[in-house]
Amino acid sequence: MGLFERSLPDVQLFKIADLAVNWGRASSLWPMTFGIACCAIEMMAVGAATFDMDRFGAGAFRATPRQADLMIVAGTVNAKMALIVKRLWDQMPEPKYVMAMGACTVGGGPYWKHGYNVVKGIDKFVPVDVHVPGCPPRPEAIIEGVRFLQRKIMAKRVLAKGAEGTPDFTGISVSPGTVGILEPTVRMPAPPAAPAAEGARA
Amino acid sequence: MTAAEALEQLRKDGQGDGVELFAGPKDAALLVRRERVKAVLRHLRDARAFGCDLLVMVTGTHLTEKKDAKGVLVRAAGFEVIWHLRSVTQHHLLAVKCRLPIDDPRVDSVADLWPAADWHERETWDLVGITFTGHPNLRRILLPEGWEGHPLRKDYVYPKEFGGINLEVDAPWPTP
Ligand code: SF4
Repeated sequence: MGLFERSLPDVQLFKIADLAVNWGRASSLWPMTFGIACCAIEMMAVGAATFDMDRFGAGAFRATPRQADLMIVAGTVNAKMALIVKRLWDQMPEPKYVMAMGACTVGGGPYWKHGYNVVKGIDKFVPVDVHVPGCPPRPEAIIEGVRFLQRKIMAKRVLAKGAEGTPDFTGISVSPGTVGILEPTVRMPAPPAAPAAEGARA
Repeated sequence: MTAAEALEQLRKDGQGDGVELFAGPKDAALLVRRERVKAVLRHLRDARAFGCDLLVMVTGTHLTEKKDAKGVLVRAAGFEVIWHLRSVTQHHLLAVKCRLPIDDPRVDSVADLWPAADWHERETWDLVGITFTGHPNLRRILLPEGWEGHPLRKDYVYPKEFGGINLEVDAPWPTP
């Protein structure tokens, strides 16, 4: 949010504004059409009628990084492709989110040991918001990942100061109908202990 | 047509020089000396009796030294190039092999006989490091430009990073 990014006082008014902005962001996640390997087939299934990710506002797959909010990295990322994934991520406008889909992007997957060319987890070069394990993950798992990401977005601070990840919406009465699928009082689970390679992820 | 019949036919045609039978564990193949590879493959393509008009694949292997139980050398370290040829009209499949020394893996290209060989030879060079002399455009095809080494060699060391991308494994595999 440009100039005011997390600089305004932590008062009720801005909390409500944050809630509105986050609700907008979380409810219209536009993923990027970018499949790399076998996982992409499951990603397509999620967009199709049976699972229909549009129910959660995340079904508008865009064919360009400029119009996308969410990069679903679906497939084995090797050294050659990693440079391109990185460039696509750089081309996406803020706010942007990354979902690592499948065992390959989470940590190398089947190519963990003998993949001389496979990156052992995309969090080595892009910041990942949500990891969805599986080889490939079932469509329900991807939907779960999107729902998790939406909860994560709802917990963010946009205008107001304050710690992220622990949204405090007490006293704000928003009927469930207003925020659709998202409960306004949702709390993020405590983050796991920081991994050792934290510095390498920046 | 089996490999033995093919060898017989080659000898009849006066092309049997430097060709012998390779009795593998499953299928027999023709083992050709390096200098004769191109002439023999050309004959297999052009002669009516063979008519191998389709090159199915070209591939290579890195062979390590092999000794028997008494410590006698059975096979020296080296490279092997394999061509699989098929005749569409006569319905047979032939395998041709060639052994190359470890310090000079170099063999004639057949990209001018079968255009299909172009990319296969590039792949073989990319992954195993066998040089095909006379190839029009011998550069990497699967791995990115600037990659070092040939990954399917037995002594290949995995790279730690490429182009700023970290390729290392964070943690060792958990032991149960
Ligand atoms: S995780 Fe499994 S299904 Fe997904 S890209 Fe890797 S190998 Fe394919």
